[in-house]
Amino acid sequence: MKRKNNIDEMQEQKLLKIESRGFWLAYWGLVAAIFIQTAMGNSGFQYIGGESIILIIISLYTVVDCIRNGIWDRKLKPDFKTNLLLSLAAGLAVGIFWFIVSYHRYHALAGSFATFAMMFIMVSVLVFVALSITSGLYKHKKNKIDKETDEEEFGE
Amino acid sequence: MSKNMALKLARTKKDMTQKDLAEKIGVSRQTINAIEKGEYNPTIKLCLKICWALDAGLDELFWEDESDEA
Repeated sequence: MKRKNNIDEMQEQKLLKIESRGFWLAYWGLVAAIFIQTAMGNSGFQYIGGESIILIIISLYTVVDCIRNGIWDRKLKPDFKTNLLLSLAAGLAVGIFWFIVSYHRYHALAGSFATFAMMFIMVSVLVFVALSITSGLYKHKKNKIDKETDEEEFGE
Repeated sequence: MSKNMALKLARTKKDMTQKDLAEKIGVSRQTINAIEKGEYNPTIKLCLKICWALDAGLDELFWEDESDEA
């Protein structure tokens, strides 16, 4: 039996916004929890395993469902330049984080710079590869949707 | 929601493809396609943009009899 909907269309829109904000709050909350635990030296699976698994699952779900529907981002474009800039920004953020963690733990400036450089390069490359693959998949899907729309529009 | 044949007719009368109309009002082509197929219920703002782009009235393009509503 279908249950009666208690909210009207304006309330539905508001509820979607509330749910969306709640989702992003939880998402970035998980990211923050992982960073805080790691900064405190609790980077083992027993400390951040659960958070990491949930973060990976919701990230994968969001990316896959967006690509499946031919959606990329509100502002960012899926091109080489944007992917490169985002990768460098992510690498820089993680690099700085690990520089601070490393310096706080060992008080060795050279070692901390080496950690920064290593994390910056690794994260930049990984994020760039991930963005290149996903933006490629997005473009492929978008072309497929456009082709299907063409067939529907002109094939009737 | 039933297919929006009035919209499709008004668009073809203007000699516009779905892509042309989508670009003119700044939405994706899939959105126009979904509106014409009756798969997406546009906001009143988008309805107005479509009407302005096609020089048509709201009731010409979007009026539905109560019995047509699912």
